Amino acid sequence: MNKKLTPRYIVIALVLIWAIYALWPTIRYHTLSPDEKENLRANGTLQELEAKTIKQGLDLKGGMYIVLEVDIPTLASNLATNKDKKFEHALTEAKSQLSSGSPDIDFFTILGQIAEKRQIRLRRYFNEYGATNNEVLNRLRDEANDAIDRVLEILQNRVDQFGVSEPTIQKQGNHRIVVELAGIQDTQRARALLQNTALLEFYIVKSPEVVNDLLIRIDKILKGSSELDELALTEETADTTKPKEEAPVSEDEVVSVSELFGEETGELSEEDTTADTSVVVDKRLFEERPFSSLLRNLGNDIGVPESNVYAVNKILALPEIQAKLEAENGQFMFGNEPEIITDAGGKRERLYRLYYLERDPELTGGVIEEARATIGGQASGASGQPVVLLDMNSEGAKQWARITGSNVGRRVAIVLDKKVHMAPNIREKITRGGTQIEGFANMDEAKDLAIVLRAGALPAPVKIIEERIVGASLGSDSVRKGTLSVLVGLALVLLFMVFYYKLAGSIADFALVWNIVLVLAVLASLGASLTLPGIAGLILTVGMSIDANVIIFERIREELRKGKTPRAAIDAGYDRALTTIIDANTTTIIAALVLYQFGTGPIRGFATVLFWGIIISMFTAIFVTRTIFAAITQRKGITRLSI
Amino acid sequence: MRFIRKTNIDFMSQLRLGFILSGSVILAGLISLFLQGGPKLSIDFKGGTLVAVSFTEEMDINSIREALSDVTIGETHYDFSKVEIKHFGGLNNISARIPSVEPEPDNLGQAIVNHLYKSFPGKVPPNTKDFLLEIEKVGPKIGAELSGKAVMAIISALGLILLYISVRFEFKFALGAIAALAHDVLITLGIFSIMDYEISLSVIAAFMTIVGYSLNDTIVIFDRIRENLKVRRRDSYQDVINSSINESLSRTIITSLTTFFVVFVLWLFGGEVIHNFAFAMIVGVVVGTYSSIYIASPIVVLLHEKQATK
Repeated sequence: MNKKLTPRYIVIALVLIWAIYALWPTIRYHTLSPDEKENLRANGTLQELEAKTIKQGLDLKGGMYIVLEVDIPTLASNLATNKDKKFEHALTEAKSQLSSGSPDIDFFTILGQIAEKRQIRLRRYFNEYGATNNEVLNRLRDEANDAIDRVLEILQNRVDQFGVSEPTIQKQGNHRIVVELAGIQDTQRARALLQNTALLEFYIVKSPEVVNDLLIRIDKILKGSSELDELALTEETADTTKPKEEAPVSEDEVVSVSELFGEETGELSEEDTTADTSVVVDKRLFEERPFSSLLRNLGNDIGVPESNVYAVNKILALPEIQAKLEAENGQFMFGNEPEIITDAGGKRERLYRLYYLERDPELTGGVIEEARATIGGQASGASGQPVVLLDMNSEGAKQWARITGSNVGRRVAIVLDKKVHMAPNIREKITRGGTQIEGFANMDEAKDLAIVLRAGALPAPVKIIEERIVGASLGSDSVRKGTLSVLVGLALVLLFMVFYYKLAGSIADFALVWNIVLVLAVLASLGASLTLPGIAGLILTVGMSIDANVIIFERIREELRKGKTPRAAIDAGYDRALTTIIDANTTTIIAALVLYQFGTGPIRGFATVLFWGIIISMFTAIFVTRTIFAAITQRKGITRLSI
Repeated sequence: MRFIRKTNIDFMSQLRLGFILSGSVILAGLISLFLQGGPKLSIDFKGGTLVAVSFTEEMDINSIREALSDVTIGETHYDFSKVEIKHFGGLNNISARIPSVEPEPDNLGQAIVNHLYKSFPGKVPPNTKDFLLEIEKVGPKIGAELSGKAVMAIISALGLILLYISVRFEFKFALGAIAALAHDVLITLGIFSIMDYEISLSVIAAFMTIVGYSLNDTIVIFDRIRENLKVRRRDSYQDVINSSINESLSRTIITSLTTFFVVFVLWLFGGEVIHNFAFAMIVGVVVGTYSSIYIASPIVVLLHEKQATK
């Protein structure tokens, strides 16, 4: 083979040149000074450079990995019309079977089974005349698949506008979506942005007379209702779970609240809001007017003290009240944020507005064409406050003109995800379709709302079923420790090889270093990210890929002991060791492939590195080292081999 | 230089000793697994929430426990004082594992981080983003799925390897290799149980690597056996296997040594996140080397003898 070395040199040189080419952007990127980076950013070429570097996985860079599941049962419920008790029960049962059953079961199959068992004709609820249950279910399945694709697209839009570098959003299985956001700091904001259904609706607010009338009737219904006592009881027991700050006034009853419809109060930046969670209601008043005694006057609206929200919600959920509201074609909805009111006695109270609205929305957010966050102008009520300006498409503008035109003098509630953001009076017909939403805590909130409104509403709610957040400090710690481990591990192996195999050992070391460089080059050109398990894979590659050389060298030594010349020993050693190395490496490759197939995220990073590490080691440890040996033994008069 | 001169150890006569040693280690592991009701699974498989935070000074576990006894999320009070709380890496860092609660608030992990931040003013970094190390939340359903996947991964890897070795060698070699693998994984699992370490996704990845590594070792020996069987037709099967192990012994030890170096370094310097992974690898390298000599090859001999007596 000695005469044919030139082609081997060429192959090796080409591979090395390619490796340097593939790694050059990474080297360049990491040697840039901050000033140079800023310059490139200004040129717009930094991103280009970044895209070609080895990416760091979420566990190294910090960031969040979220798996969202589209809530199929709610989607089915949203699609259904003429819902009755029978249907609701079937849905609840299907839901509970879904959560307890095996993960592969399809919700619609379960629903079908339950419908079969209870002899429910599903076509009644989905306006499919003459269709069998199976046909209805198949159509629902299509709808669900379609909904998931839409969710994917909408989330893509939202995340793109949120401004995260290199987000990945992928569908996983049938109704899951994996979102990876690297380097994100405000995880709460990102979570809200993803989960917000962003269902925008416009409802007409019922007149104050109707509301007063209704309140009196609700009080009447509740009086003498047995469930009221139960309610009072549950409130009391709920109260015992927390320490009482003060003894209640003798005549009064302490009513506690344990629900704020999902409002997040745990935010770090927020002031402490949970100091007082019980409110005192006059007991006699409570007996006489069980519902309205929980309420306050707040201008033209009903105000509900924060601590009474739970009780109010509970009363409104009672079946007889629900029946009453249905008959009246109305519904109650809370405002999105509490207002802090100081009463005559100087006592501060946090009140939520409660609105009584028409049951059906006049218009939904689908007509929104453009939404942008800005600061409210001088003329508006929200001057200096963040607002979101909406523009509607022509169809929406037409409807909006009709609605505003026929309801001048009344109020329209702008509702987002079932919370009333504002309910302004309609002063005149609005023909252009422009409108404005107020009531945001800060500019970020307004901006995020504009983003979700532009991207559109999710067809079904999404639930977070898996979430992994790695803080930036842990990430950089892992990078430091990982790099240290690689360097120390590599140094140990390199030293050992030189020590044990002398010249041959240093040839193997040369190959090993190239092995690592090539693995990194492959990662860079594949666009794969390096994760902490990936670094572990790299270290393992160092330990295991040297094995090929150990096998070869031991074989050569054996042949030398048999009295062969160095050249003959080298040839025999390589030839004999080849099958062994291939057989042994194939099994590790199988393990790596299986890991890649079944693993997710970081584990895949490990499998990728292990796989390429072994493949490349066959090139470096066999091809490269043999070429070097051949070049050495080509010189005449070699009688001893340093091995 | 050479560590290992030409050896002539009669490994096959130590067969019984090897089986007894392995058997008792496996038995101890199984007893520990039985007493603890199975392996200690991480939230990857059980579902739940893990939070890890970093304080500016050393923290006492009990003070954290006390702080977690009353956490308010929304308007609901939770008592998390019974959850598993540990130091995470250094003494400044704390991790807590919270099992799934029903109904689970969406922001449970973040809420706990916020609560801890507020509970220890003066002991936390000024910026909240330096406080949070990690939050992991896995829904119970996902956990069950991941367990299923992990089991599937191990089974399919074993199946494929069995197939490969059957094709390249003989079926009895495949059985020997698989027995050695099962031996390695069982022992690692047992040691994890005895040490009270958690089995997480990354530990499963380590198991798979152990499988690959141990096989690597086994196959190098098998390869030598195959080669020698062709040449030394007159010698007894047992002798051939014995000398094959001896001939590849120096390679086995040197490779195990280099691999051991690197996983030991990883265990030493790799940090908390990768600690269990590295530990599994250390156990795997040691046990894998042992099993290719004392489990895989003897089983091939036993199977061969059984074949011959038929």
